[in-house]
Amino acid sequence: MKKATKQTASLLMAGAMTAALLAGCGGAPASTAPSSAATSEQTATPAASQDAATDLSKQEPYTVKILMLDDGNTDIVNEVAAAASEITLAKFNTTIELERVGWGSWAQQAMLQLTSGEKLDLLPAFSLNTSLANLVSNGYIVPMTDLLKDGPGAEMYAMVPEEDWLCDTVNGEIYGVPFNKGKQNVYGASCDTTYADELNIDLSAIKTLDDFEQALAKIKEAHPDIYPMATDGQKMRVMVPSDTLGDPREVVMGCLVDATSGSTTVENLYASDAYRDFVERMYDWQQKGYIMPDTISNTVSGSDLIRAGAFANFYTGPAPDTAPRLSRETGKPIQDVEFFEHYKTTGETSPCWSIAANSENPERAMQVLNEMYTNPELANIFIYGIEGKTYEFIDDSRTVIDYPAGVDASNAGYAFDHWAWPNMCLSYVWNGYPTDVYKQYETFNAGGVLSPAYGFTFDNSSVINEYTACTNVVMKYAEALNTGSLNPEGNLDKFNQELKENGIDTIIAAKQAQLDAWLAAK
Amino acid sequence: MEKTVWQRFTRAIRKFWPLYLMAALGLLYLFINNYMPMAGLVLAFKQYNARKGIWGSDFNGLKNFEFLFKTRDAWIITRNTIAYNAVFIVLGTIFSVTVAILLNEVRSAKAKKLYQTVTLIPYMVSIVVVSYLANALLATDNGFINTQVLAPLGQDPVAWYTTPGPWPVILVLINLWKGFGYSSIIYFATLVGINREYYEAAVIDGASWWQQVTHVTLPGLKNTIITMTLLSVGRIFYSDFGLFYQVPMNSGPLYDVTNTIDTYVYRGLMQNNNIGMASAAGFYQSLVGFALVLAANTIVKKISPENALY
Repeated sequence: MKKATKQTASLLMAGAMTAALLAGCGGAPASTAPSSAATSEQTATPAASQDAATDLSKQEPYTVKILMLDDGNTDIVNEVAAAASEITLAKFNTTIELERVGWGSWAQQAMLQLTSGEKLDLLPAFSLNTSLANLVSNGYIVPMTDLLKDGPGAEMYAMVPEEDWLCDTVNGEIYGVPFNKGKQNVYGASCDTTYADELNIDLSAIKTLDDFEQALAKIKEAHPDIYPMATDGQKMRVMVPSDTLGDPREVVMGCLVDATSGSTTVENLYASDAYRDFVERMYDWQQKGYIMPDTISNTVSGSDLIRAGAFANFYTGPAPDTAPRLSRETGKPIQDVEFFEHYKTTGETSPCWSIAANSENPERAMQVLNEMYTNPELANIFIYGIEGKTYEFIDDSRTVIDYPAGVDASNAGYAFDHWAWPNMCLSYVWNGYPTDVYKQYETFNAGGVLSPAYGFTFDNSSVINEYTACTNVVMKYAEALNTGSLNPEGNLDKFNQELKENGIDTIIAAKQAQLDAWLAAK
Repeated sequence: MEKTVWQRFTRAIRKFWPLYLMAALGLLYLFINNYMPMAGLVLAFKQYNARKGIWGSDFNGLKNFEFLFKTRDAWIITRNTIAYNAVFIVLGTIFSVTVAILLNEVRSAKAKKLYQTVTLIPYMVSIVVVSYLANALLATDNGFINTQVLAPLGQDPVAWYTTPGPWPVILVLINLWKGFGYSSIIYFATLVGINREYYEAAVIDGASWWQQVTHVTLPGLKNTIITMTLLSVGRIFYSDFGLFYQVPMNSGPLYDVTNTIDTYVYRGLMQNNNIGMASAAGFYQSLVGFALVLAANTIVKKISPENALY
């Protein structure tokens, strides 16, 4: 009798909380959601979470469906879900359902699940070809501020720096838990050290693109038959340290051209001197044979080109440890060189775990998410799979792991992307990485300059027509210019002329206005 | 009156029920696949919000359509879409009809089968594979045309993927090569159905081969040609996405001659995932296609009423 009452009560409370959440409670007056149910139930919310916290394992049974990117063999994924469920059932009476989707179809599959209304609780809001603001304005994910601050996510909430939460905040509500991964903007090149050793090039002395160009010249002279500079398929990363203000690096509609300068003027990247210098340099490299001709129809990735004999590939990344990964992928000794000071932007911090609008019970989803962020046992099950099957320990202290004998990346059946799970820093260290790699991450993340717009997210809905038109223009010119396939002389001006005609100034004005308002509110 | 119609209908069902049963499955498929989703067209006029659902989302008038016209490229993408399709329809028809007539002249049954199969193969090949075949021909440093054709002639290699000029020809050739096998089979099937006695009569009257073609074969094909063309006209506002996106390898410098409505919408919305705008583009395309089919059919009706679709 007593138990039944309690269950009913907690169910009611949970229901009330859900309704309140869906109504966008938490004092967002401009919320677009229906507010009829909100007022009466808002008061019940804090009580509900406290009550429920006392006896979470007695909750109604619930299934949390998690969607995660990258490949997984169905049998192993189900095993992982079963192993994870053991923990969550004991603690929350919650069963885990896990589905993994390969990179190739990730964006499409994830968006399909979000739009179709299919059951889905948790997913990484990452690489979905859309911004967090768009996910919010389309109603695909739910706000989680209350669930974090004084709900089941409180423990996790305290662990993430406050300014990082801003990067996943839209209209005053938090919509995601940022991945605990590298959060800096690093611009550099991954270099095959065999060439450097052979020609006595001191890679550690390379600090600028000019230094780097000299190294390329030496290598080209000694090996005239190779193209020392690789591209990523048709793409070349742009070495301009800008804050794209939430845009993907491939298509930038107005940015802070130098994020480290402290300036808050939004400018057109493609009209900037820094960009002109870069594409002129690339065209020059193309003429000198540093870059392969016809990059426009190249489909081979940068790491594959390095494996095939190229010297270096540009990278833009959030992490300090790309070299060991690339060494593993290419089978060559790789060393990184960097060109600019590290800095932090919303773009690198904002990839996050979100609760889908299709979740019947966001509170239960948050309980699991918090556990994934704080419980090393659960985190490692999700990240690395099943011990003995997809990984095994190679040291006695059980901290360093590698593939079991006879298993490698191609047949493990469970892809490792520790950075894309909520809290990478709980995970075991992969063989070849420094054992204190996560300590290094901490120091790494603590340093660096903050972009003045750190935490700002642009909502492009008011300029969506101009945005669509300009995206087409950027795609028309940028890749060909970035790889040096197109002569910037004349073409760069034509590019900017077309951007102007399609309304980039309107976008930039809107961005500036939103940024100014955000800065003022801050 | 109504009663008699109903009676006639029930009688027909009793009499031909196996045929109706066979048709029922097809109709059910049409209904589920082609009619039920039509309700979703309402999304073209809404600001879609997943939490409010298809019906609950707010209307926003014609705002979703604006992006199609607010670009300077609106003219280019419309011109490319229609002009390419018009050329495809005209050349494609001429080419497939010619092939069908030639196939019809082949006497050996074995050779006929062989030719049919060979011409059909390109139609079966995935457009992605086609794009790599084209790349094998056109690649700048090791493509067949640059190394085996232009170099022996003493010509400089051409950077095909950054030179827009030849692409209209390349795309038309690829489309013809890929599509003619399929449509020529349809025309060939009609040709086989033409009564041989017409030809015998023509021969007795002293008609040459060419006169047989123009006076017997082509009139026999007229119906099929008109139907096939009307169907193509209905899709004149859609472009073959694979042909215009995959085959030019999505190369920016070629956009002036390869950007069509479909590729424009795809590139523009890839970053936005805006369902309303995507529906608006589809709605606009089908509306124009529908209007063009009506217009084309009216013209056909005026010229030769017995050949109109309806």
